[in-house]
Amino acid sequence: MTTLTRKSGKRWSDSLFVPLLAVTTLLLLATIHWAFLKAPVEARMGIVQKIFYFHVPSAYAMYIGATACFIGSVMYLLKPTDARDALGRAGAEVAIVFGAIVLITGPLWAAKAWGYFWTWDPRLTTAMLSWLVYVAYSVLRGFSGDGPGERKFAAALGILGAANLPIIHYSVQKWGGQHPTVVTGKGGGLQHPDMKIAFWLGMIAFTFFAGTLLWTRVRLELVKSRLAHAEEDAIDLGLDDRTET
Amino acid sequence: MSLAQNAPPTPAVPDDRATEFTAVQGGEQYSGGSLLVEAYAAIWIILMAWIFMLWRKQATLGERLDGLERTIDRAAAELEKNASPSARAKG
Repeated sequence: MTTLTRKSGKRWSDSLFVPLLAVTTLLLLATIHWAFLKAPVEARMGIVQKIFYFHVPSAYAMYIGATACFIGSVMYLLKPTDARDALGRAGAEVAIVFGAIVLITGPLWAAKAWGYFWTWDPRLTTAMLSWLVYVAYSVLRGFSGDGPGERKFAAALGILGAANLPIIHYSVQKWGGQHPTVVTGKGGGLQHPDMKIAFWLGMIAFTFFAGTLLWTRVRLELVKSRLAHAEEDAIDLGLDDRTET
Repeated sequence: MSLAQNAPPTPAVPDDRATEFTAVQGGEQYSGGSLLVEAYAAIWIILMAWIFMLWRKQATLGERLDGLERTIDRAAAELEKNASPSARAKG
C-alpha cells in the first residue's frame, strides 16, 4: 500500500518565475512601443506592415512550443514520466495558441498586400497543416482519457507535428509561392534601423513569452498529475469517497 | 400641412432595386489601419481566452484538492475518535 506524500516547500526554479514574468512584460511593452511609435510606416504597404512585428515572432513562438512538444514526446516514449508528458502537452498548447495568432494575423496582412485573405501557398498550407496536427494532439488528450496508451499515441502525434516544421521553414525556398522572405530570403530585409529593432525586440519578447506560458502550463499539468496520484493513494488507504465535493 | 407631406413614401418598384453589385475599380479595398487593429485585437483575444482556460483548469484542480482535503480531515477525525476510548482506558 502506498502512502499519501506531500511535497511542500518552494523549489529554486519557482523563485525564477517572477523575474521571468517581469522581463517578459517589459519586453512586450518595449515591442509594442517600438513597433507602433518608433518604426516607420512601410512605403508600399502602409501601416498594415506593422502586423509583421507580431506575426513573425508568433510563428517563432509556435516553433518553440512545437519543439518543446517534440522533446517531451521523444523523451516520454524513451522513458514515460509525468514531467515529460506534461512538457509534450504544454508544448502542443503553446503551438496551438501562437499558431492561431499566425493564421489570423497573416491573412489580415494579406488582405491588404495581396488583395485576398487566403491562398493555398506552400508556406500557408504547411503552417495550417502543422497547426491542425497540434489541434488533433490536444483534442486527443482532452477527450480520450489520460492513460499510458493515450499518452503514447499523443507522443507519436507530437513527433509527427515536429516533422512538419522544417517543411514549413524551407517551403518558401523549395516551392516558391507568394509568402514574403524578408527575414531569411533575398528580399532586402528590413531597411530602417528602427524596423530592425522592433523586429528583434519582438523576437526576444515572444521567446520569453512562449517560455513563460510553457512553464505555467507545465506546472499546471504537473500539479494535476500529483493530485491524481494523491487521489489514487487516498483510494488505496480506503478513503474512497474522495470525489465528494 | 399639405397632404403630400403626410403621404406615405412611395414603395420601391422592382425596377428601382439593385440587381447587381460591381466592385470598385482601383483604390483601397481594405483599410490598413483597421486590419492592423483587428490583428492586434485577435492576438490579445486568443491569449486572454487561453489564460481563461488555464484559470478554469486551475479552478477544477482546486475543487478536486478541496474534496481530497475534506476526505483526509474526515478520516483523521474518525481515527482520533476511535483512538480516544483506548487512550482513556489506558489513562
